Amino acid sequence: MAADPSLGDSFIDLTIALEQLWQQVRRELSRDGVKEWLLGAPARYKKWWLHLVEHAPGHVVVETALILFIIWLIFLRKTVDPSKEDSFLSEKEIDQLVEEWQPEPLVPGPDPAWDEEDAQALVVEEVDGTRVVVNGKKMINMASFDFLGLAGRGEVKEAARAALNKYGCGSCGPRGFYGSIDVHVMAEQAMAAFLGAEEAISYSDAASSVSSTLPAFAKKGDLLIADEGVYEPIQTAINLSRAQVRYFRHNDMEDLERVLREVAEEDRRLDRNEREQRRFIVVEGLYKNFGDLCPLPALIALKRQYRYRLYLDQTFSFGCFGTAGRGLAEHFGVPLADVEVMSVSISHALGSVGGMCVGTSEVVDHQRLSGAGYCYSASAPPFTSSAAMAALALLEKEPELVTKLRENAVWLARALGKIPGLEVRSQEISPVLHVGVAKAVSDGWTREEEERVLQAIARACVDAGYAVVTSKYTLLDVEAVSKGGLLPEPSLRLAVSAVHTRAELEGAVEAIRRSAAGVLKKHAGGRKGG
Amino acid sequence: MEQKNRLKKKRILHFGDLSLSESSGVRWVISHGSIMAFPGSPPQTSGEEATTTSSPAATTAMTNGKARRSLSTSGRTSRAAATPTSRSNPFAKLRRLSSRKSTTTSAADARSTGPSSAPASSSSSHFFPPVTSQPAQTGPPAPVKIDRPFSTVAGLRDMPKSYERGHEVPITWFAAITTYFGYAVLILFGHIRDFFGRLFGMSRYLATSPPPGYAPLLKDWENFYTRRLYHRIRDCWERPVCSAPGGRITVVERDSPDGNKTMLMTKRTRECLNLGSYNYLGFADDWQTSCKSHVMPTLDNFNSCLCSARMDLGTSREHVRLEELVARYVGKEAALVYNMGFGTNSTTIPALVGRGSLIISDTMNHSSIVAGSRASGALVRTFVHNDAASLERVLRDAIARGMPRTHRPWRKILVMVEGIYSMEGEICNLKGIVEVVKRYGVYLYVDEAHSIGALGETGRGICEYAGVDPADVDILMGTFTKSFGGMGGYIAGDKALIQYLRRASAGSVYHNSLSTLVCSQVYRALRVIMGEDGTDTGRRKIAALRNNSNHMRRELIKMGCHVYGDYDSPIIPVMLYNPTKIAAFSREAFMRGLAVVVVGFPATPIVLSRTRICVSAGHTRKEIERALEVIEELVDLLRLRYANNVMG
Repeated sequence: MAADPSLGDSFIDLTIALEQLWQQVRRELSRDGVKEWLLGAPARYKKWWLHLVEHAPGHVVVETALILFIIWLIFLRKTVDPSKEDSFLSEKEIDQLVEEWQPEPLVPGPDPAWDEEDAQALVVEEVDGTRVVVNGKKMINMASFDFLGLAGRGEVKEAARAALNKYGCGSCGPRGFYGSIDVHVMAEQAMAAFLGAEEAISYSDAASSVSSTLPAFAKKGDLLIADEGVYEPIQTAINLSRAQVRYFRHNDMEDLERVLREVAEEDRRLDRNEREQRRFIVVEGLYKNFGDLCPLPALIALKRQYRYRLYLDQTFSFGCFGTAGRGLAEHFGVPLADVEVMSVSISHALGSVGGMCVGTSEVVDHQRLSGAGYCYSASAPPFTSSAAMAALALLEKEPELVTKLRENAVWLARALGKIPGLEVRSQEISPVLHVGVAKAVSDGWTREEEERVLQAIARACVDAGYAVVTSKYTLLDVEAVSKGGLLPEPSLRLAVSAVHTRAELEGAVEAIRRSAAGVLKKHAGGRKGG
Repeated sequence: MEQKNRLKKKRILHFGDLSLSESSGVRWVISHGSIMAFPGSPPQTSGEEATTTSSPAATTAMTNGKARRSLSTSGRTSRAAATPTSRSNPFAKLRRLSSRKSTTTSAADARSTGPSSAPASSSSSHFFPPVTSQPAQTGPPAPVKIDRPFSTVAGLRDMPKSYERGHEVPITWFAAITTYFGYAVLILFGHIRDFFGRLFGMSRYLATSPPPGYAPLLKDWENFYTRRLYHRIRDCWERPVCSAPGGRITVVERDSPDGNKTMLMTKRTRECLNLGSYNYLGFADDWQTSCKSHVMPTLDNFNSCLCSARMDLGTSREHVRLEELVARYVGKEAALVYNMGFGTNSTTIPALVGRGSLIISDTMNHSSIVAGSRASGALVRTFVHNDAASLERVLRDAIARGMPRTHRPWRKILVMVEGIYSMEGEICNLKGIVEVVKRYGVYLYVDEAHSIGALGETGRGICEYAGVDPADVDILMGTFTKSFGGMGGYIAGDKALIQYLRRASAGSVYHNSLSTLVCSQVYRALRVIMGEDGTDTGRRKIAALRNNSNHMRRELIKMGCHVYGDYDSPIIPVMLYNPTKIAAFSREAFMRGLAVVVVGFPATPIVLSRTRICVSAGHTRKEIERALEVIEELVDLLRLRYANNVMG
């Protein structure tokens, strides 16, 4: 029934051909023809079948078997799909399973030790500079991260008071929805100007600022190279981003280079374009859990060489380093432009509440829609921004606070280093000091043992009038150690401030010396006795 | 599919009939997306209400020399509202319970003088007509009348509704088509502008190209949406306010030198009626009188914060007493307060569940719950928004199958819901959900960010409103930013739970503690709400909030807008749909002195842009009427009567 090949390609020829074709089809399908053909079908089929049986019986057997097999395959076989196996559960069976299922308790049961601990918890009743009243007892504060003593300054309090008078307490809304108070914007501008960045964006909590910023940029498929000693908010940020992550040994630039080289090699091997992945190196400026500084110049050299962006968390280093308190970049004399994304805190050195992220307009602007903690959370009360601005102005006016803080930190670290039985594990210039039991003494101790000893020392210091705390980790982090998680060594964590007088620091060192001597002696006795 | 479309169309036609028949005295009720008609009893008009609110003491009051608050709290005198006990209702028991509670508390506070004898002790008391009797002593409260949305139809509105799904009115086909078309045009023009910008090097956004060897910092779509869609109408958000966020606010006007790419504050300001803030109970309005004297002394004794985590040196006596009060308020053994509402969820959830556990989350849950769930490492499944039956199906399936692949039983299953859904204005069907949760022995986590203080006769949130025993909810979470005019959030639960969370949640062990100032603010606000300040200011605030929101909602529905959410909820979303209407509504409202929030993608699905009206107890009835007038004007201007007409 194919079209006649002799037909020309003109339009008229085509219509004639179609006409002929149509006629032929009509003839074929005319009622009589079809009827005849249909009526003749059984006879023809029978004839064909007999012919087949006669000439090729093997074919018939094999093909019949095949057809039956296919029918069985399609219609009769019970499909056992492992993924849908339990969809055959009857309602009754499900009821039974529900009946049998016993969930674990929501939280580990009440622990009598917790009651005891809670009863002994430090409850602050009054604050005045470095002096605090805790549980009815006057003492010197060696625990708060109010590094420059700005939280208690009259100017800062006055700014907070004025803001409260003008705005009341809460801001009653997220920044996007009429929760932006003019002081929020002004504080952002002041911070950007202070750090010489294009823009800043404020979050109502320092930790949320960190854990919202990173996931706004790093997404699934991106790559983060992080220091393994980063503290919890960064860890959370890494989790939330769902990006691929590789860790390098804490503050070890050689190890970082190894990791970077590995990635570069992998790129070559897999023929991967480095422009397809957003890549960040994630570090803290001053490590909260270790009290040491990130070696920024070496890091920046590496980051440039391997073309990574840098995320620097200055929650603890902002206000404490550099000639004017601008943090680590100033301390090492590297240009701020080399740090693409930087978090700073206004709840530590500036003694207010909240955190900020600074960077280029592009970096900041993006977070106004994508920073979860900014976009979906109510903004901080306006007084916090006013207080932060006042504190920032004080810091600008009195850069000597930073120098004073450094002097105090170094003096305290050296003095504590001389205490027998203890060792200072943090860097000398760090305002966060980690003091542990000397390795020679704690040889063979378990972690719990050392924690207990340090806890007892801290408690004795509190009794002696110095608020000293140990570094604490969540039960989850402690639990995670058995699954390969990392936990910094137990320590007494002291925070020094620019407004601590030398006498106060001397007193604190003396208190720690006495407490340590007493506790260590008792503990050694207990070990021998046991 | 076709049938569904036809159904939708039919419903729209029904809505079309609504406006015609309303005048004929038939009472139409839009409930669960369908129409019910009730003969007789036409809806009471606001005029009638105005006449019932005639108490001379209750007209206006002066705050700081400005007329701020008229006492609209006496509300309407409808049959059911006047005789609250006559209704067979689950609150009766609860009210008895709560009244018993307040008798005990007032007994404990017997030393503080009663409201009638010492009006001078709190200056806010003379904003309201003097209270004749303590409600706790006289059984069901009479003086504060509450505007019941459908009180004329006995029995219908007795139960908090939301026992079925679907308060959402479906988008009309016209709106859907024009919305998609609008976005298509915007995206097309965005790309054209990008193209020519790249060609001629004249784009405002050229700086975004990354240095060689680096991936672009922002992926195409994220960046494109921000640059070409959001920036165009950026002036609708983040308008800085330079006054207390009360019922009336002063907003700073902004200019942009570069077509909204950057916004600069000017010296010009504009007085606006505030329908945007979460100032539900109006503590921002009367802060000077209600809270100031209790907050300021904290600043003398403490700094604004302690710069330390709760487990270090960040616990003050303010924290301790606030936690005790919160626990007592919500009816739990203990509570733990956090510095940030977002952080409360995002650090508590990982402490409760982890690998091997399952989180069953409502599809509309807030971003903080999503963040916490993701950080926890538990598996997350969702159930159809507010649908207990769907929850049950998901639960049965999950328990029967166990963990994926291994089929081992789940370690824990945690169901997560919210009290009021912040973008939908819907109230949780807690009763239905609690039933399911109890039947299957799983744990329940209720986020009361918006409902605490705003729902229930005494503001105790969704449990009180839905008539659920707080003991049936394992974890009660809430925030202080909304009703209490503070900051931060809390978790309330059993003592063991709280003791565990203190040690296990990052928010308690690592993050800085809640500001002491905020602690005393929230403490004071709670005392007022609980009536422990010796006045009934709190009760009046709660009633005023409910009356205002129900009035606003009723009028908006009458206007023929597509209104989401439930009666009694202070969040009232009105659908705008078209991207152009987002900007138009916000700008036109602002020009008319109305500060109102508009929401689009990414906070809502892309076609369901809306304006979200938040009503406060600080609004007077007059202010509400004025707002409604402006909104009606805008509704006409922007053609938003989608319930009356397919084309709005």
